[in-house]
Amino acid sequence: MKVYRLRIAVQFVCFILLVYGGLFLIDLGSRLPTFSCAYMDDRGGGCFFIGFQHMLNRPLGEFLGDAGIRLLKAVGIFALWAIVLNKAWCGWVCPFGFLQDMMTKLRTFIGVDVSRFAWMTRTRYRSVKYILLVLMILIPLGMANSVFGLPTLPRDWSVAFCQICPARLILPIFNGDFSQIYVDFSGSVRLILTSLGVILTGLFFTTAFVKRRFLCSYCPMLAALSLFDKIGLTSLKKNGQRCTRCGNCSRACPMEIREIEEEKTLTNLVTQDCTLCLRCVEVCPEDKALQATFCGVPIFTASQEGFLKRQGLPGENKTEKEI
Amino acid sequence: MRLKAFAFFLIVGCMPVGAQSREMGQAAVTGDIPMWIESMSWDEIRAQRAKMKAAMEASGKREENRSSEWKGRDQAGSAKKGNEKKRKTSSYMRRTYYIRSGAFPMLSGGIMSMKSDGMGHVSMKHVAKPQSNDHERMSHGAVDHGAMSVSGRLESGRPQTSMNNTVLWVTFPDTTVKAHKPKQRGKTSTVSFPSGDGGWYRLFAYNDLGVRDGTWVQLMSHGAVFAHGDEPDERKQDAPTGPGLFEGRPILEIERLCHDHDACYRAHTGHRLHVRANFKGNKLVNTPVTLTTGQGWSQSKRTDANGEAVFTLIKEDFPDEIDTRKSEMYLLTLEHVVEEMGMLGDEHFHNQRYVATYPLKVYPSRLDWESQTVGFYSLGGVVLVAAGAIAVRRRRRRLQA
Repeated sequence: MKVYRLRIAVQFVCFILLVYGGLFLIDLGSRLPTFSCAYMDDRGGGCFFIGFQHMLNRPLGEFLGDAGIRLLKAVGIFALWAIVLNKAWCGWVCPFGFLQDMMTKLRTFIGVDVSRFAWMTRTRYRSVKYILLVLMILIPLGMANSVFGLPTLPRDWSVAFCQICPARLILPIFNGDFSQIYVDFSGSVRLILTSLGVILTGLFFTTAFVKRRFLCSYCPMLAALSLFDKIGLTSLKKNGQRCTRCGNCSRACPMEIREIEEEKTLTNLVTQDCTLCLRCVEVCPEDKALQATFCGVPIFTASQEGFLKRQGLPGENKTEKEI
Repeated sequence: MRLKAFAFFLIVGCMPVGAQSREMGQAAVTGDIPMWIESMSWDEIRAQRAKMKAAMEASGKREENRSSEWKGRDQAGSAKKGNEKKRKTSSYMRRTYYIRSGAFPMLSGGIMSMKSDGMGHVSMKHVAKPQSNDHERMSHGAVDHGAMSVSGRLESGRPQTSMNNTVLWVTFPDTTVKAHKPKQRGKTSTVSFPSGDGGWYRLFAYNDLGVRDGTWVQLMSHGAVFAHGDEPDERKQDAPTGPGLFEGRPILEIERLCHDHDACYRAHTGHRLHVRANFKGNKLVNTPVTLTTGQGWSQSKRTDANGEAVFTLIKEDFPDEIDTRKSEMYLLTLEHVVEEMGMLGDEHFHNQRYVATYPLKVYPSRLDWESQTVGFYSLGGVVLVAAGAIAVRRRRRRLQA
């Protein structure tokens, strides 16, 4: 089985479902841990972040009442989704991730070489997504609450993350809506936020020709899903005893995760940047060295035979003709 | 390929952005606006809370009031007479209880404020300037032209409004319909209801003023509030009966026709407002519907053969500074007189007069402060600069190698 092709097919179906699902009366709720942007008119489900930011914009005292219950309910639904599929939301469902993969396809088609960041550079900027996540929580709280007597943040900070999110500008285009590509001149905060959104959108188009899934490395959704790495039902496991450190996995990984090659003792390999695309399992030539599991049950296991088959090479016991 | 993409963005960026329509001219200010429903913003609620807190501290009755607050909430379901008596000692305290309860039993979008003028004809100008935030705002809003007249008794601070017979019907997102009896608190009558589910809460207020000068006057107002959150899966089919309703629907109805959610979620200047007039379930043909703006401009249109009328929401205020959240109250008014004699209790009437209103907040058009052209050019610029930077960097590396 070529997982890469299967993944593209699943991503395509999810893209149609999330971007055009509304046209078929499909509604998967508004707590999805993926960028099914709420600014799309015909969406089949909504991104968790926009509602999350709205819900946090309340005085702290109100969290003791219904606001708190609603927040807990929303976070609970998000956690449930995250526990079931774990980071597969990013690798298999996210419409924005799918677009980035398509841009990579385009780059390959044109014949532009991919660049790789130095490991130090990657490590240095890894924390950006966590900083964005923390800001996403603090800004709405700061709008409704005064800290140490300081004035509250102006309302221009409302849904600040959505203002800078490139998915807000790009995904509605697939509904025929170009109106999100704008710069807001109503105030300095809005001007900065919407300009940042435009800049990040520009980077979406250009960085696709430099690196695979560039923006995912800084995505706060990935950071939020990372909180459920260890308890997720979908998991990626490694048997260090069988690994020969050939490096196929880290080279194939769109997120350029080096731990997958280097780690010998850790069994759960869903690291903070992993999107569970299973590309590493697909290219691993060692029997049972890498394994994707759901509730502990293997769903896709690396094997020498499978590797050779996918590469179009003859296996140990098979002739070229049989393949 | 990249050049094609740049060209695409440049072409799209040059597309003209639609101009705002300004087709409505100045018309005569219509007469009285009898009753309307208005949502209370969070800022207003917070302001009232702060005011309440200050009042309680001043009176030193914090504890006593807190207990009445809890008892007051009970009253919504099953009131105890003793508690009622206690609350009657101070109307201000009763009002504060109501707002305070908003923090606990989940009123995330369901606090409504209803105001009535009691059908008088005295101009607002003759009335002492109101003190509360509500009324200050109202004096700049849709009611600044005689609508707030309350038979000249507002100076006492306790208007003699005829709100005793008012009922508010609330259609919840699961289409359950419930009646609420507003409580009058000084100048304002309030009603609260929990709004746990997300979706549209449609409101219909009915006020039977009885027979006046041989005319049976019935006032009604419509409104809608959208609460964010998960919408209920089940829909219940309620066909309630009660005052103001005819076969489960308002007797005189201004039905707002929404072609999509956004059209009704927030009205902006330049948008079209599409309404239908219904009377006892039938469309009202060739009947004038009047749209009055916050500054007093108005336009009347007659309904077509389908009972529908379309207005364009004009922009009438040109502030120096952009305030995207500034809104003005616009009001739709529909009046229908039925020449029919009858008896209401002991009183004869020669005809029946129905007056319906539909208030809506109108926000400035996004085109006032957003530029898509700049957005497209900026995006194209970013792509060009970033692509250039990447190309130069790669070239340097190649040369170094």
